[in-house]
Amino acid sequence: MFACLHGSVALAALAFEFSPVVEQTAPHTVTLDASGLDRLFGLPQDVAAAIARRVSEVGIQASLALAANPDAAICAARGFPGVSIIPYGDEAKFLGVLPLALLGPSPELQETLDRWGIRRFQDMAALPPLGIAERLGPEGLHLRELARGEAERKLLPLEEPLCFEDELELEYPVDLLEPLAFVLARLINGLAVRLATRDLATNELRLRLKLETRATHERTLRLPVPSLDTKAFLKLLQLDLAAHSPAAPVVHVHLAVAPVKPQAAQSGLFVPVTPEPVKLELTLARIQSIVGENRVGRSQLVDTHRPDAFRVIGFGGVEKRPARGPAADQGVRPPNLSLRMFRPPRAAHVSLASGQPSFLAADGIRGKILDFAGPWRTSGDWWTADPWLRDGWDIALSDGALYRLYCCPHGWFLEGSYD
Amino acid sequence: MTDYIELHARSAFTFLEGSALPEDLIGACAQFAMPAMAIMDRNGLYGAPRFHMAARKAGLRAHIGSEITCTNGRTYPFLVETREGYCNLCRLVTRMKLRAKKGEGAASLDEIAEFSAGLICLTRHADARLFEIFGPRHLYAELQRHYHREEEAHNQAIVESARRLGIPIAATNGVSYAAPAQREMLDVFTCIRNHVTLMDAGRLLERNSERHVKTPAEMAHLFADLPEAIANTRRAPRIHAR
Repeated sequence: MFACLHGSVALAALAFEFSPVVEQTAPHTVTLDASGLDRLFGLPQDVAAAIARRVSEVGIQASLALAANPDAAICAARGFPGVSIIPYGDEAKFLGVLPLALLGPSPELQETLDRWGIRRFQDMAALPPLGIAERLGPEGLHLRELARGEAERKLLPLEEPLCFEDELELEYPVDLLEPLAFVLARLINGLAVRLATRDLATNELRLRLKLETRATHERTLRLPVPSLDTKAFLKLLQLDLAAHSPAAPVVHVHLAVAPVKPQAAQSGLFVPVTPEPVKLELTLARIQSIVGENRVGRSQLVDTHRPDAFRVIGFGGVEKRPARGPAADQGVRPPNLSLRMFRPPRAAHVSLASGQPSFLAADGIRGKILDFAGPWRTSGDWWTADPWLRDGWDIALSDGALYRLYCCPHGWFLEGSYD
Repeated sequence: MTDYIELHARSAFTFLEGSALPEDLIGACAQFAMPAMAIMDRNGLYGAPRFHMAARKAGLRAHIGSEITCTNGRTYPFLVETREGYCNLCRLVTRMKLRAKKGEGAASLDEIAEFSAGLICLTRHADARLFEIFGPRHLYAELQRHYHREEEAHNQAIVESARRLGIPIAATNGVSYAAPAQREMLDVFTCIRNHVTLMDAGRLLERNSERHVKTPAEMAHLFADLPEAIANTRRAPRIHAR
């Protein structure tokens, strides 16, 4: 059994709700393989009623036809408004009144048939096949088959778009995380099942919440490896929403996941067991909810002249190597001394003589500056709201200790000591 | 008053590697009562005519030179000493440009040797081959100080090398813009040259704003430990070609 929907809008998404085998026959005509739907809905009348109900639910104007072969269903959907059910064997009788132009014959054939006075399906169906084959050739024979509703063919199935999204309109605004978690769990489970049936997993969850104030609250979670662990997904979303709670009660929830192929790797027999990536991500999310956002991850050097510049990136990201700057190309040997950085830098009081540091007093460090090298001057980010400018010195105190000192608009600081 | 004159200034005619017009450089030179200055655009003498005219108008002396890219990957700054040197520099540039695409081209050390007469080489990479080509009177070890730790380490190596070869040292500031504020324009030019945004340029940008025209007093203070490097800037360009 085949069903055809003919309307004024794209109907493919609707057709996929009933069958995985859908043919986009024309821009506004879709044909679907309805075999098996009788097990779900019952008689063909019930199948037609279910499809028609869904069509009216989504507010689409479309005619529907069910027939034993796709072309009969297409002709009926295009020719008759509303719902048409063609009984098996009665196709020629049912379609007989339709105009022949509905089959779209070539202009030459149309002209010939007009001259013969053949204008309806029943006229064409009544012609002898041998005479049509002699006078009109294969095209004429095919047209006769269509007119009699006897043409048999297979559908050209449309690839179902891989769109893993789901949404839910809430009956009343939800402002607590716990009831929202139930809604999220339902959406996550549904999406996970859809992913699993296609042997896919996800590494990205995109949540969009519509609020009572008509504002939108969007969050995106990225996982280091693809997974289908719905409990972990739910917990991650809960933790994220606890850290970034919506500003108003939620009235609509939309969840989308990015479909990716699941990772399958066999660990070595003698390799130490590592925690599951998703569970590790969950642990990191819990830590982040305590220490704050952007405070969990690994440090990465920033490609800049700004001293000691780094940023914290997640564990899952691919490290981007800093571009080689002009200084890196000079072949300068690295210094032989090791520098122990003070984190944070220690505030210092420095006395100047002739514009150069002469005496240092900092937390636990005090002495006359006997020798120094510098200043080493850097400045940059002049186009941002946070430009920097600083002069650094390497100093030797009277007790023989070597330190790195710098001066910036915020004052003097001791950056570290040389071993 | 100190003896310093700037011998290594790059104008905006060095496309996207300098951000000051030749007139701006001469303006700064006149402002700081510097009697002369040398222009050294990359692989050409593009800014020299305007630089010369502006200097003559201001009553200053314009020295002409060019940074020539060598096939060994280094860039050697050459300063014209005589009329013959000017001709040789023009011939050297012409030869290297004729055989390469626009914006490319490099001269070999043999070609530099062929056209070395009348030229002074100021270099941070002095070696035996250059000493052989230019001799002790026409080869200077160039020192630059931009408050940069690694550069200072390199300077110490240059001074050692100069003493070993027996050649004089000369201080320059490797000027790329006339005033510190023009560093921002040079940063933007650098981004355009490398097809990156300011946010992504990173260490391609200038480390600080010290490549501007500095006063003789500033340069003397900067090279207080090497006064001969300042004094030699007056002795280096014994210009006869006018």
